[in-house]
Amino acid sequence: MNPKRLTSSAVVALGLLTVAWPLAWSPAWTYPVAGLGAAAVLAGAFLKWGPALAVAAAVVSCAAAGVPVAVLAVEGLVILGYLLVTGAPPELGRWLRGQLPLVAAGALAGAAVLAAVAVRPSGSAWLALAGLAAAVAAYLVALFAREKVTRGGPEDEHLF
Amino acid sequence: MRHPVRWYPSPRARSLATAALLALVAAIVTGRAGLVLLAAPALGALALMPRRRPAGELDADVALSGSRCFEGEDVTITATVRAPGGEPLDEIVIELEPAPRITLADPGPRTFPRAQTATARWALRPDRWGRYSPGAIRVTGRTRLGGLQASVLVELDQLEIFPRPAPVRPRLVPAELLRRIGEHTGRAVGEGVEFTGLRPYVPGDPLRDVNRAVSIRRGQLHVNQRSAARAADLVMMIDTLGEPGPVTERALDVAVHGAAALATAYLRVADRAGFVVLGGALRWLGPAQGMRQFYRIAEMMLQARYDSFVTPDIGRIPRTALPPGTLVVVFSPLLDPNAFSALTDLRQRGFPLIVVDTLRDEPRAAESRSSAGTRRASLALRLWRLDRAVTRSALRDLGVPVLSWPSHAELDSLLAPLRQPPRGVRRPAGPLAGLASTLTPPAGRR
Repeated sequence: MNPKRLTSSAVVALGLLTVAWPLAWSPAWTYPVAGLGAAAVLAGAFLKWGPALAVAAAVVSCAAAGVPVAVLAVEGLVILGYLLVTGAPPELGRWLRGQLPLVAAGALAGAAVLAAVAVRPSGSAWLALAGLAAAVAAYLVALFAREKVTRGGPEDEHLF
Repeated sequence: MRHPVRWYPSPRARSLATAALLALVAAIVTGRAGLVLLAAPALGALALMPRRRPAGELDADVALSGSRCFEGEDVTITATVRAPGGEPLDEIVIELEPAPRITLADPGPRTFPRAQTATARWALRPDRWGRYSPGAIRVTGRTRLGGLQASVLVELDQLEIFPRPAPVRPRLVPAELLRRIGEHTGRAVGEGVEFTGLRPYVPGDPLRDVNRAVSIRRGQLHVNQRSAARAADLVMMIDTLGEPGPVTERALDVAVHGAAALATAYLRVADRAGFVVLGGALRWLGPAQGMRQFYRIAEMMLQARYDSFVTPDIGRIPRTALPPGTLVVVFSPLLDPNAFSALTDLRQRGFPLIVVDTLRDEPRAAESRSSAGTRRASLALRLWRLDRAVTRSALRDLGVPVLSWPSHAELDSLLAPLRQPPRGVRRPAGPLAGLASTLTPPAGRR
């Protein structure tokens, strides 16, 4: 199989799994949302925000359903895998080895949270709010540091 | 060459942050702590990505296999990228963004995972003549487990792309040829290869010229006479006058390809070829021999595309550009009256002239809902056609053949009717019969 097609197939498969898996526990009204998520997965090659939309659809499905905690932990890992593989090059071999630290870190973080949830299912609302504010602040800092393409070329040689 | 870059969070880092934020918001809104599990792996991966930014420059060198080529020829581009500070990057992506008139065999980006130096090659094929950059190379480096990214865009050097000349045979020559050895049959008797007649033997004639059959039949020695082999001068003239736009651009395209074909054909057989650009500032190259002259002509063709705001001064084409007796082939869309007056002037100066009409477009009749509007549009089109017919007729009255060059025809077949038939063969009647009185055919190319 063509390596490029293989990578695209892996991206689509993981994306559809991300969107579809929570549906087993979700109410019927989340199906259209999941449909939109699936469309975003399929359009991911052309749509810049396709992966984010697919993840949003999966989160809505999970939030609306009484999904078991273990399933949520696995869903978190699937989301991580989908987001990682979205920017994968056609040749996956060496690239996959480079992603192992990220997957391991994600699994460790998931296991830690899973343990915390199992020990104390409910926490302080203030603590959760502070955590959310910190996450939003970190996100905004990351988001507004926009990419800038540097232009270079032969004419640069004649500047001085 | 080193290019300064700034490292920014990569799309991967942004999408991981977005996913984590969505899950955390969902956890807060629904009050279900379990939804934090959706965010935890993404946050764990983000936490692992180092925040320290690498050196602020990327070393990217781009080289082209040549600075000149013909249309349809392959040019190889080699891009070499070195990671800053000798530390390998997680991923180097090199992508060629081709210009609109460039064809790429394999246009995809080249990805090099975990590399310190990356080299990528592309074979690109320019489809259109001109002097332009074939595109730009975009180099993207990702480091810190793909969390940081930097991009640099390197513009490629300009390429000189010459028009590809179609095969044409140099059949048309002026009646008066140069007194220089060439490959065309002159009127004078000389040392060529073309048989022109017989005459009685006189002492001193070489014996190999003796025609045995005639000598036996007539009982007296007769020798063959041959034509002198002479060279010719040809000047191609292209008309770039007129409003800039797609129609003029297409006409110029046709003109340049025709001129390139003629220049190649005539320069190959030791004739001299020159070139004149009518439009803006008058640019010209006097007739000269050899393939070096072809490249000089081709370079002047590349300059013909650029718009000029100089008032055309086409009434003073210097004598060095058009030596007496030169055959002038003008490629013109016959849209600008200045071109017509220049042609008239040339004809009155006695140059044998051929005009090739390069216009292949007609004005499109504007669609109108009313029948009166449609009638007016078709009437305007008829008037335009009549106007062009008058121009062509006026040129014919001056003894200048005007040839239309449809897209499906070759220049060789287009010029064929202007050849004079061999002596003793009657020329078939036709619209161009009698127009080529100033042209004679070359030897052995009938």
